[in-house]
Amino acid sequence: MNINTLVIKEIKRRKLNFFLGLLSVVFAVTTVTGALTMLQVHDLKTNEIITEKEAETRERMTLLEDDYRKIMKKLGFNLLILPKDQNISDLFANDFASKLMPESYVDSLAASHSMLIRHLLPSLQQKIEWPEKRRTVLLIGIRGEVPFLYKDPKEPMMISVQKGTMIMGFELHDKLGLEQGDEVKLLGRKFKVEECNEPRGNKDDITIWINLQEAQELLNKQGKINAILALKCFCSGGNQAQVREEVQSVLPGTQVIEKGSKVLIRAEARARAAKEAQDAIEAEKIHRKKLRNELEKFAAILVPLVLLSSALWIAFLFIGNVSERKSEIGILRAVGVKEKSIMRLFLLKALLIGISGAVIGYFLGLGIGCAWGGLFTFSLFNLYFFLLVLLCAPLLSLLAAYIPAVMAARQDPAEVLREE
Amino acid sequence: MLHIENISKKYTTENKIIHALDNISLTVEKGEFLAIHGPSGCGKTTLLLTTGGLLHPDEGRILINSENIYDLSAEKRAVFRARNIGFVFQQYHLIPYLTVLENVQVPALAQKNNVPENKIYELIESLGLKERLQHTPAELSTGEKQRTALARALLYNPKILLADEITGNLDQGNTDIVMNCLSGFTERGGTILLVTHDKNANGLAHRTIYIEKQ
Ligand SMILES: Nc1ncnc2c1ncn2[C@@H]1O[C@H](COP(=O)(O)OP(=O)(O)O)[C@@H](O)[C@H]1O
Ligand SMILES: [Mg+2]
Repeated sequence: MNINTLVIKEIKRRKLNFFLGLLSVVFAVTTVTGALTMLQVHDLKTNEIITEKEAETRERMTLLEDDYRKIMKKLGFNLLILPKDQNISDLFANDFASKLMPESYVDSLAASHSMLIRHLLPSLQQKIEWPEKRRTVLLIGIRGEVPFLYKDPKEPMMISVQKGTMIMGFELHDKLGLEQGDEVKLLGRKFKVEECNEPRGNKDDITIWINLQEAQELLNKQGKINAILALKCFCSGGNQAQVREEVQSVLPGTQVIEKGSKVLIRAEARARAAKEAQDAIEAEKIHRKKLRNELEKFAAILVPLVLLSSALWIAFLFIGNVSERKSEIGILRAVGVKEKSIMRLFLLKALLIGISGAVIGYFLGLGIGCAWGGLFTFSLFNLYFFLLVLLCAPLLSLLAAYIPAVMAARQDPAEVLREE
Repeated sequence: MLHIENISKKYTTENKIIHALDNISLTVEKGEFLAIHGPSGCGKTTLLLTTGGLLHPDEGRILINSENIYDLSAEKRAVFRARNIGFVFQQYHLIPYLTVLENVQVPALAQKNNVPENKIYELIESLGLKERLQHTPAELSTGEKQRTALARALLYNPKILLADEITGNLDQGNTDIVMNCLSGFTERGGTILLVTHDKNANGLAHRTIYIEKQ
């Protein structure tokens, strides 16, 4: 028989005392492990949610991208070919191009072998004061589509305006009380109102379209135009640059800008959707982080409290155990057992309580944490943390039992042995 | 072999000082069976504890085989006790969660070598405890308890056996078994200091001393 077997025998035959100590360690370890597992489960879930949302967003973006490509293919995009010296800011500020270029440019372009440019619409435009009606109007002279020489003629994109007629924007015919078939005078020339447009909500509503040649005569700009609109250019993805190059190789005296198109709007919508999705993900992240902080705060208070109470509990249990075993300690000392061995008697018991409490508590805590999160995965088993618990729980138990063990070793054997 | 020289021990309580031992001197030879009589409270238990190295006297020396045991460190004195002294107390002090067999073997906790099993059984049988080997103290009669405690004290065959009123609670049958065992021990060369109220013990003892109350 040695001290170790004595410890085992005492544990075996006084199970309740050991069990109460064990309970304390199990409680502490379960709490710590449970709290940690909950945090881990939380993090895993956060990752899962975010990953899912990101995948969702990516999928939506891909769909959108697809739409974008399809529309792009169908629509092409619109280019505005302007004189090189046209200030773009002025163009946007005044709603029309003020610089001029020869009308022959459009014929040069039409004669070129361009594969990318389609539907050429030359125009001469100027904002003028309609002297007869005292109104500001945008006068646009158009010629209709100029067909390419080397391509099949397409259906005209915009009907040309016959000489002596005009097409009138909504705001104008509405306010002036004009109707289709009415005759009006513009800059001294008589025109028949050929068509009255429906409201469009843009500068078209104050625009008068007339024949290009007549416009040139009225404005005294014979043979000149301001802009060529190239509609539905073929262009996939980002090769607008190629189109530009092609135009400029034919017409060096020009510049090319893209007109706001459905494609652009789509692209903007797509960017907006992406941003919204990103914002939603960010909001989710913030929400999850806040939750985690709350959990952390709770754990930060709970864990030390539990550790402390567990240590106290063990200490009191051992004080009880020591005083209960006074007679035993006395006789052990009488037969020559050393003080050190008496300490070992209690510390070894504390160690066993700590180790078994760590193992039971760890898995219990893991289970509870998993159950809380409804997430059962082996990845939550953390070997490093398990080993840490296996080290710390016995240490806590030893520390708590240390003073009672010293009390036992210091006990005066004569005192208890003298009793009658 | 045992010299008790001018031993004094006093206890200090809140309101008075009790002189439990006042300048006691005594010599006991090897193989001697000494019976100690005296009224309750005269310091008999105190004398035994002091002699056994468990209670430091205020004055005087205890020499066992010329060794002053209180010159030894506490740890060395524990080793000395394990080798030379056997204790039996009135209150048995059996370990409640151990069986009779295990209780008898408790001194092994302080020893380097084990007593062979047949010797243990021989000892247990000689004290009539053969049928009680696996019983715990709670299941024993007072006589059996005291016999178990005696077996425990004799397991490593100490040089000196210190016995404190061990027959006080026993009937005649048990007393006879115990006394027989003690005389057997002295016949094998053991020294006994037996504190007792039993006048019959005087027949077996080689010498009887009386301690008077202060
Ligand atoms: N721890 C103690 N504190 C105070 N007085 C004590 C203590 N132990 C014993 N005494 C006293 O010392 C005296 C001797 O005690 P003890 O040796 O037990 O006597 P005996 O064994 O002869 O009855 C008694 O009067 C007892 O009351
Ligand atoms: Mg006494």
